[in-house]
Amino acid sequence: MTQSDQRTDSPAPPGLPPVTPPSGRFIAQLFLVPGMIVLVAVLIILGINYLFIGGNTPQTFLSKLDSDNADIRWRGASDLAQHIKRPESKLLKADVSFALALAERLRKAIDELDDQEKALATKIAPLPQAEQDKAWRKLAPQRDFVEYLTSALGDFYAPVGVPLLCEIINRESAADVKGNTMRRRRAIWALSNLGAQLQVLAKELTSDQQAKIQGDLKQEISGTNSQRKSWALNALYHLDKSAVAKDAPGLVYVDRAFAQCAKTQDRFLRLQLAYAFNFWDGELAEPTLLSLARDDGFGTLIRIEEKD
Amino acid sequence: MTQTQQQDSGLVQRGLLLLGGMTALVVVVLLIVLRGAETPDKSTPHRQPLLVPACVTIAPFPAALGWPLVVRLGEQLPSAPGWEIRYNAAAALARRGSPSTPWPLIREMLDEQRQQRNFVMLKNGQIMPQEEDAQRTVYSALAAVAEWHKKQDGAAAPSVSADLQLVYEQVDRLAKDGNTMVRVQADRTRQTFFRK
Repeated sequence: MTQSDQRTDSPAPPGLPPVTPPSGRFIAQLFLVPGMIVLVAVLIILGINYLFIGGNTPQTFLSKLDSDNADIRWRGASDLAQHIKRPESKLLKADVSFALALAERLRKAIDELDDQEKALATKIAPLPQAEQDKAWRKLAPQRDFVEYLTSALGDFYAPVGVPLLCEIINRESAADVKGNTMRRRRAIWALSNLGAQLQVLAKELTSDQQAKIQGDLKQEISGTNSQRKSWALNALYHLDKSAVAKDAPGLVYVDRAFAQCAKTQDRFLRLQLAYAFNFWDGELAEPTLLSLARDDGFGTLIRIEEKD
Repeated sequence: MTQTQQQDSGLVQRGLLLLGGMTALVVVVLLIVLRGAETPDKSTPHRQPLLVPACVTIAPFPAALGWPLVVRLGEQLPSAPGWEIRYNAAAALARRGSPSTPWPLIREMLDEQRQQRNFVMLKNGQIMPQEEDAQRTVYSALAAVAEWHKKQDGAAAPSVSADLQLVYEQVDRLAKDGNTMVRVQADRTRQTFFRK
């Protein structure tokens, strides 16, 4: 007889209960009950979120973006960036009022950043370059917010962002060279996205949805807010060239803005510009492209690093 | 007593066997590690032959230049600065169906060898071609050529210019290329050509 055989045959030590395998019911209770508790808790949280916080509506996103708390602001920005790219978010992308509200915020953010940059440039002028670079980084949150809103405007079907984005791409000089370069590149990218949205509009939206966008824009044009009026007019022109007189005051022509931008010293911007012409047309599109096809690589290539 | 001695000798044998096995394993791992950290041999750098000095002789101009070598030099250099911008613009013009599409530039985009010289990066002191980027440029040019032909559909099929004919020949060559992605797109592009 082996040692192990001796072990199995020996009686259980006194005082210990007999070992029995767990029943199926016991195992089910072990997993099912905690599972049910977690499920109910999650449902309660989702219910509260839906009823009192409001889910993914334009008002929720805007209130988060307007928050003084940077964490809430960025969480809202992140949520919007993810939500608006989804195929089921067509109605959000077609929301004219929401797009105009974001454009208003971008206008305000750019003006504030300009003021901050000018004030900082005067203050740090006597400092050495390394100190100046460090000081510019302090404006990073506001700069990031402007860049975010710039990109966000490219996601809508109604191109209300055209005037602002064209203004950004043609801003050749600024106190903060790297920040301005980055903003211009983002704006070109956003304009490309806007152009791409216009190309797929007829495929992705029903005729009723398209008519609603145009109706909303016309309503904004008849409103009293001059800024929103002008942006809506531009959006309507780019959606339907026949809906607005070609010489209407305040119209911004993308091809003209691109033609001006093609003279920029930033090589990467010209590269993006040549690509962006895939999505926009106009009288100056072909002459500008022909001039870019003869580009000799003049100017500089400003490199933006992560720490900038 | 004899049984204990036999057990001991078996243990020693097994121990020695294990030691031998572990030594072999260590040797293999060391070999792999040392071979993996291969550094470029500085004494024999991998370089393209430098043709610039070879082009110049001590004789006066025009005999000073090795003209055949100048031609070869042109074939070995990447495109002139600004080629990324020119390529994007040429492809955009082609996609629009423009009659002013710069076909020589499109031919340059379709030149795989040229793209392998354009898309390079420096790694461990060696110039490494970025194959994927090079192939993507060729693919993009092929797609743009196809798009140009589709855009001509509304009008009567234009006569094929000499420049466009050269593009056709280049696409024909790419249709036999080893890379599947390029070959498939080249074949699709050929189907749009104005050929009888």
